Amino acid sequence: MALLDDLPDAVRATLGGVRDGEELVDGTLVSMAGDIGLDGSFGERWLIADRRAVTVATVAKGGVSRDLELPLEQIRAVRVDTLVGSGALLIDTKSGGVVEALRFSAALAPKFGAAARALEAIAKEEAIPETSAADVERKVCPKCGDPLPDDTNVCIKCVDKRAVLLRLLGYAMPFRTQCILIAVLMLAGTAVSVIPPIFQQKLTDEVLVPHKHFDWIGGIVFGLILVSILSRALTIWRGRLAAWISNRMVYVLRTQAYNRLQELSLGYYDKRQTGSLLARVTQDVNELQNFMVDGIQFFLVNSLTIVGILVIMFRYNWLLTLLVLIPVPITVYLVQATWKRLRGRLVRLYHLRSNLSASLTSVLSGVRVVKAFAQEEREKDQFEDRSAKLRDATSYYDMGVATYFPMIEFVTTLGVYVIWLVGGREVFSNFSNKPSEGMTLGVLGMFLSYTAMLLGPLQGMTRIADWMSRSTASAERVFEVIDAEPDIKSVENAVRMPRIEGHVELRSVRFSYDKNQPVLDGVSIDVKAGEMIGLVGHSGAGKSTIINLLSRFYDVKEGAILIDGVDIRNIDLGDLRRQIGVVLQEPYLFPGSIADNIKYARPDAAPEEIMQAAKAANAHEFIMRFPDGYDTFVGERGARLSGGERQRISIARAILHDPRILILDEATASVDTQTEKKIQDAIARLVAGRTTFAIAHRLSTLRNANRLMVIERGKLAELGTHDELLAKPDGTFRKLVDLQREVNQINEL
Amino acid sequence: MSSNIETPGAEAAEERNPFAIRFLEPSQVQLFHSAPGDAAIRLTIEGELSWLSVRIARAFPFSDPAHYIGLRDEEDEDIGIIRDLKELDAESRALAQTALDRRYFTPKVTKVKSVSEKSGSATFDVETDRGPARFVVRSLRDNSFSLGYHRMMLVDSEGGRYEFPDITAYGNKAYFVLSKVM
Repeated sequence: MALLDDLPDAVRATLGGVRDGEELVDGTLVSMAGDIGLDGSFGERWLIADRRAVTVATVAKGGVSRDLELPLEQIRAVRVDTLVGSGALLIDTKSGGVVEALRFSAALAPKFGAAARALEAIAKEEAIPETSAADVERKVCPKCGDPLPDDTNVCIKCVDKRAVLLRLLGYAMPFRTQCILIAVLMLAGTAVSVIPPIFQQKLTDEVLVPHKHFDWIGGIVFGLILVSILSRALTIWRGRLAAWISNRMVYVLRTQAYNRLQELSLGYYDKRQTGSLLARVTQDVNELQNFMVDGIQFFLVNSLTIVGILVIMFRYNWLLTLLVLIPVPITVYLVQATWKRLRGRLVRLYHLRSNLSASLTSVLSGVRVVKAFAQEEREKDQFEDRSAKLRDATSYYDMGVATYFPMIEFVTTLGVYVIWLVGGREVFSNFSNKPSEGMTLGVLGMFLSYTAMLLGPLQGMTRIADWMSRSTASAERVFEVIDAEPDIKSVENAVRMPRIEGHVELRSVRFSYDKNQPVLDGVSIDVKAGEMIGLVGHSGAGKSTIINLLSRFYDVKEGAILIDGVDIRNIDLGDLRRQIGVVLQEPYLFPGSIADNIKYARPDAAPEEIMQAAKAANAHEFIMRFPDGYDTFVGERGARLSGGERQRISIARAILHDPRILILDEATASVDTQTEKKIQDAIARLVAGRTTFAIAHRLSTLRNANRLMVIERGKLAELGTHDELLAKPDGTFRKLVDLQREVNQINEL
Repeated sequence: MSSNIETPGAEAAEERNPFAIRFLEPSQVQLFHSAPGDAAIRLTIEGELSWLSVRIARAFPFSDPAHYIGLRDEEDEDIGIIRDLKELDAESRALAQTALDRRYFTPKVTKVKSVSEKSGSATFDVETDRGPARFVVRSLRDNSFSLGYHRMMLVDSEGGRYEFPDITAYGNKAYFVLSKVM
């Protein structure tokens, strides 16, 4: 059972013993470990309950001590006091006192919430409410034991131990054949590209120096041109093929990331900035694209070239080759050391850049507020400040690059001097200039050519490290999105419900957006199909949360929501969403025509249906008055339309969507009285025959509701018809109505 | 629409502008427990009224924790604000301080024993003023809050809060991880 943690022996020992002829431990109903000690520091304390009493035991260095024992008959109520970053289990006693049993960190809040309800039930000799382990237990990674957040089963530390790069290459698997072709082209291309210096050597040693075979010159030059043409042709073929493949790989990656963003629940978005998500789908994917189009090829071609050149050089003069290679390990070391320094600057740069774009997004979206409060100067200053930070970070990074790399380059070119020094002396003492008798002028020239050919790839390989680290960082961020598990999804064997009747039941629904703040605290209601329920309460009372849960944007933490008797979590998500329609206070219109917006949920709707829906929504009249009729383009957030017009378009959208369950979230809040009347009429037509949940601040607009739910601090305070609730002289609803009447009178004056 | 307690002093209260913050006169405020061991905090405003159970909360828990302490009734409605805890009498002050320590569980990190980071999430193994702790912060950038120069708070994946009073004090690795999300 979820309420019983394994008692450590030491704790069990202190509980042992017999009281009133009964052994305490045998009757244990609740045993739970808390993680905050008596002094307010982390520490182990146990909450234990049997049929007689609630006991708290503290585990300390000196041993276990029992520091609270409260007989059950003294308990009146048990509750959790939600604190900041922690919580406390409080017991109200029948003598009017309050006893704090123990405290616990935020992570254990769900667990002790269940404990509180269980203890109260035990004290009242009621049945202990059901709690499943999944509701109260901390989610931990089965591999490393680190806690997992609610919204995912993926442990970042343990997920996919393969190197990110390998995983990235996995995207090339569908293009195996093309990849093999590329590899062949690369090999051939490299082989061809290392030929010219050999020709040069022949020309020097067998034609120019001995003054023989004059007629070879033309042939050798022609050969050089041919090789050059062949080499270019191979490069072009390879480049085109690589561009084709890599762009397809990136396309898959980008689509996967975007599709996952669409699947992820609102809970994922609550905790993240739009700007940083945007950067992942655009910037990071671009970064990967660059790497996959150019980086990987660059890396392989360079490696092959280096190997090819070295093989030839070794064959001619192994000692000189080794001497030329002396600076290479030094270069590699220097490059690594440099990147260790630069990586930090680079990461900081990335964060500053995405910070800047996130702040840009938020300020531009809120530009009306900025202007209304005349804060342009401050926003300018703030942007300047951020921009300056980015400037400094970028120049710090760029200056590092500008400083270190010429130094590294110098070390890399040391080989050239070695060739002149050592090779030059050998050539000087080889009077016959025959390769069999030592170093020749031709071989010296060839070595110089090859060393020059090596420099490019070697220096390139030093940059590849940076390229690779940047790309792996990008890949990690993209994969983090792809790997995120949507917490709301259809279960396996989800119940298909092609037509929902609309019978909705909330059973002691509890919910919180984060663990510290319960938003709904045990709300129950049974709504008949076709009934209209008005939701009333102060802002922050939990009305919108109920709506979010009905739409299954979030899942209940405890309790259940049933539609036609089926738990909402077991209903096929597609079926559910298809039959729930929402009209929001500030409807969002996508860029496109009015018709596009009306048929958003049903893109195949016929023009007549669109017009019928608009007519029913009292929108047809004003739409036809626009010069472009239904083809009128509505820009970002539909700025060209008034609030009432946008509202009616969104009602038309809902009518066309034809939902079984309708949600009206402050649908008439932001319009004038005359428009409100039109919207009211439209809504009345929309509501007919559907189960409707309506939030409205103007309480008069809820007169048509069959019943009203008054929500107060996450609890259902009152439930009844408009008139019933109004008849309660001390009722919350009555007070709200009176208050609103007063406000209206003031407004009328 | 608070559920006000009817008291003889209510007339005086009515004269106050209900839309203005009430700053409590420290000499009139008395905080105490009705009985030893009782968790509820009682508040008496001298010559006015008494609450059986009040909550104590900071108005600026990060930027000014020592000032502007709010007293709230059982319904979590505002009673008034104490400008400075120091002005209270010794017993009330001690009680308020204990209540604040209890309410805000934000261990201050004193030492970072190890930190590892992957894909923007970090695992910390730390010593804090409230004992050793190990926690995971997912999506570091979205769960870090700058509280001032070099000072920041992290919220772990389970809602636990950890304060780093000076991010330069924990060595290079930790500074590297923390500074880039600052």
